[in-house]
Amino acid sequence: MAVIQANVAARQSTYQKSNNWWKRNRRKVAPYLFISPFFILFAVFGIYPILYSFELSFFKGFGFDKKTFFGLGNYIHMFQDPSYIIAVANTTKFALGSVFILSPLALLVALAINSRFVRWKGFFKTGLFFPVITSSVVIAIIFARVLDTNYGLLNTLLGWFHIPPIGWLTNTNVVMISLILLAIWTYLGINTLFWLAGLNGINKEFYEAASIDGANNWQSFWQITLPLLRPVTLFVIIQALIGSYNLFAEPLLLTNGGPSNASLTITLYVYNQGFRNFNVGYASAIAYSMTVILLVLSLINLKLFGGSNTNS
Amino acid sequence: MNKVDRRTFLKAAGGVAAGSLFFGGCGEAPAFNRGVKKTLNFWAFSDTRIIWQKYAFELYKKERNPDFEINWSIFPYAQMHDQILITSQAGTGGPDIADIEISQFARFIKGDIIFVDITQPLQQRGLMDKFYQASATNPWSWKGRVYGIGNELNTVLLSYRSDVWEKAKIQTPINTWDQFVEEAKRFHQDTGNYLIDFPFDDWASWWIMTQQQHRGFFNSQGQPILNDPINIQTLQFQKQGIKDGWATVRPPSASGQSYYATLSQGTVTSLMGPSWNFSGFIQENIPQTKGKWHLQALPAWPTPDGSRTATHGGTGVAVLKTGTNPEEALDFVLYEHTNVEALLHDFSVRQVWPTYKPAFADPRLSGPLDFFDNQRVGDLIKDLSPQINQWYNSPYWPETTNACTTFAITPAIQKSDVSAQQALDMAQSQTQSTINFETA
Amino acid sequence: MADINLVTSDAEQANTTLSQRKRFSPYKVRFWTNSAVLNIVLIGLVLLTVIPFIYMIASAFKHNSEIFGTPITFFPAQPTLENMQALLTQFPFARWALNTAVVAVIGTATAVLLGSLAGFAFAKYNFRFKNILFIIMLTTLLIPYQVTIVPQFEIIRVLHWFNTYQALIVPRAVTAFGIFLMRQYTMTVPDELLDAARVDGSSEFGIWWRIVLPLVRPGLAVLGILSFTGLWNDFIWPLVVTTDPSMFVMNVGISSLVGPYDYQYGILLSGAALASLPVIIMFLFFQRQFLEGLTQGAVK
Repeated sequence: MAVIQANVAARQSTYQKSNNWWKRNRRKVAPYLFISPFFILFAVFGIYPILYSFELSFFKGFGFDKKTFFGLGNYIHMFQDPSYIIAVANTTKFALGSVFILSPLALLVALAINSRFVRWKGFFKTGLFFPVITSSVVIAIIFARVLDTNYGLLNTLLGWFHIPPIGWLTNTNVVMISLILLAIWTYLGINTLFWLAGLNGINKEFYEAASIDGANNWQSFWQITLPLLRPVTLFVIIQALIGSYNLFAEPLLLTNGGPSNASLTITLYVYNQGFRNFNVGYASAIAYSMTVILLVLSLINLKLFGGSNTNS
Repeated sequence: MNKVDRRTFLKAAGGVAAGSLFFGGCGEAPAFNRGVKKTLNFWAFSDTRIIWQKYAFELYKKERNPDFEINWSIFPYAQMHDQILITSQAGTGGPDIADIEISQFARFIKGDIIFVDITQPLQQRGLMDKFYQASATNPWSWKGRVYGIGNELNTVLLSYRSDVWEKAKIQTPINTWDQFVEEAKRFHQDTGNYLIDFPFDDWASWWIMTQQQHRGFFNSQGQPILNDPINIQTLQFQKQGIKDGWATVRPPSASGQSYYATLSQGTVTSLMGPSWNFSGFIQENIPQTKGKWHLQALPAWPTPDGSRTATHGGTGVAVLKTGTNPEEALDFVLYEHTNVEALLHDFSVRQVWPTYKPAFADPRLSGPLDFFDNQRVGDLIKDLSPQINQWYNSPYWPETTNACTTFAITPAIQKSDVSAQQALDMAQSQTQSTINFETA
Repeated sequence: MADINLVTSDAEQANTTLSQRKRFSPYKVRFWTNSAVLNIVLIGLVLLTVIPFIYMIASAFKHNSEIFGTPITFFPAQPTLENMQALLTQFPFARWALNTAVVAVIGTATAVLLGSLAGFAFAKYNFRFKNILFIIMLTTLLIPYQVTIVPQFEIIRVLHWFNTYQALIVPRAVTAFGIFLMRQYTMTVPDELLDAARVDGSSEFGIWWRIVLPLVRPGLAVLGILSFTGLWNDFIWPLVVTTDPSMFVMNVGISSLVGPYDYQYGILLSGAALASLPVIIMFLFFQRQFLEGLTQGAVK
């Protein structure tokens, strides 16, 4: 430090006073300069909308110009609005499918890839990954053809096994399941990678120690692998939850939320209210209710899977 | 050393910023026809509708020699209207002229109206009385002002596969719905096919049938009457048809080709609709069925003074205030709706009868049509058009029709355990609640 | 799991003769059956994942009637280029591709620059509002984008930015996630290097440019790839702020080909194929970075 100060003092004499100030304080000022381009934009496009949306949720009216104060009216209507309730139910169904079907499935696949029986690990990791980098629009377009009732690839395939055509996108009972299956197809790859990253982080010594103690595969899986995967589990589940609530392009392009709201998701409903009906206040209220739901679910998950990275 | 680095960064940043500005400047709509005048953008959702309008523009160019070209774009129905609504909020973007479908118009009258008010130009040119206003201007009017104009006289007829029906020895014309059910049952028993289908995701079929009986979505005060007893009976009639097996459920509208395949293969052998449907869509999608169709009036209901026809749909043209040259655009729009040649061109393509009264002097409008096995359809239209029952519009048309489809039609048609009464009661309360919410 | 098998099997092996072990040892049989089963299952999964893509690309070369005709074919019976031609002539597809590229490239550059600069500040400096700002950013990560999309629309409206590149790039280029990521990477840079540079008279900015950036290159790559992919595949935002077809990005453009009144699936599928190609090609070349980048969160 003293050396630095001496150097600084030595240079002072060769610069004017304004430069002195700059040189002396640049270490203090620099960070503000560095963060300002980001923060100015962030304040305008990130923070302000969050606050404004909250304010909007207490107003009603068509568009942004004709607003009238409405108090809690939007929120009250929300809880009586069957479309809202269906949207929440659908999205939750979808989230459950993601968490309880997709994630464990991905874990199994990860275990399989990780095991010593499989050698082309890179090939499998890459092969399963394609859907993740594809836009949901493209996926929706492909699957509109695959899931078509009369001319779709899937029903044709089932037809070879003498299974009658299923209304994947037209049957109100089936459509949400179709979306879940589509989600499994899309996100199996990346969830597998998450689990693999977690598995790789487990120290092999644990297994060796356990086998010396006489534990078999099953026991070591339950007692070592799973507990040590807890931080990854937390991450995977929260990702799945957040992703579920963002489901938008597929229901929009495949079924437009139908038939009869059977595939209406929360984000699609926000879009409908906000950009089709321009009930911007109501749309904001719905979006905020979603935030609350997600927060609660995240906290629950934190309680279940949180805790430190230390071993049990 | 330091200065060089800063300079390098600033150069890089400047480059990025300049790049954005440069591209930002480029981010305006380029004229698709380089080196030619101005370009007006026309948005449509139906390519069959543009055919006569393009033809009209060619005539317009010869006669008036305007200094603009028109760029015609087709979008999906919902998206096009959504984007125009967004444009109305944004204040910029969007097209100069657009086809606005009748049931979408209500969406644009909730805030500031984005369409040019054409009441005065119409009056100044003495055009108001020269149109069948019920079809030409009423659907695009609000509070006494006219914002759009339509060329389609949409009298609904029953269009059926005459070749199939003759072979099956079906007694034509079918005069009552009871008669229809009889023939339908027999037909299904004999051939396994159907006389008619009912959609599960569209209100059109149900609305046409209720219109015949002086019912529909709204009463004269613009209030929804979805669960009116006759409305319920009609929906129950459709349910019963599917249950009894003489009618079937139409493939979803999203999978369009499926539906046309059933029609061309003869699985379903009739449809109810106006000319943009029985001519426009059918001729575009299954032209190979030419000469195999006949038209007749809709069968009658037992209700006294019911009608043998109805109206359905209709698209008008509106000029946007946000466009670049509204006056010039309007001049063309008025031209195309009053030019007999152009209107008759639409007739020759889609068998759309015009709303412009002077056009009816032309004998072509009542000639034999070879797509319909040389039937003189024009006579049928002339006879039936006066019988269209009065129907009532409402600012809440989109909400009500959506609720009807979502809460009534789809569950009632798809689920055997949901009665028409339950479904329509639900739809009615839903609509009421939505309207209350919006007007509170 | 795998290692345990090895251990117990060795115990078994001790009890068998050499020739037995070599040919039909239970260990080997089990190994190969397990292997076969697992590999077959995994290959099956990969096929399931890849087949729809192949179907899309194959259908891009089919006539419309063949896509809907019976029987359903997988590969085109009469391959045709008419779809691609129609795509490029009837629709401004080339322009859509250009728009997407511009947005993705400039957006990524902006996100990486701003994110690494700000991340550097958070990692290596102490300044007065540091903690507050950090917590604010943390909270914004918890808010889903649906909340902000409506007000952002209003901001675009006020700024008259509809149908411009700025509207597509700027709101999407500033995310708290980028800062966190870069902060993590920057924190691993030893302070001594920075101090040494200061001693040599480097400006703060120079420190970032010449010392920190090269060292956090992996982080930049990860952020770059994530931003690029996110921007390329973005849908709902461009859908809402562009109403002029010449400003559509590819996603919005091809979605405008979907609809009940005008469905030309051959064109649609060829558009989808072309739209997804660049990212897929990038992926094949930069697999490691992609895989690493997208699993960042899992390891942190």
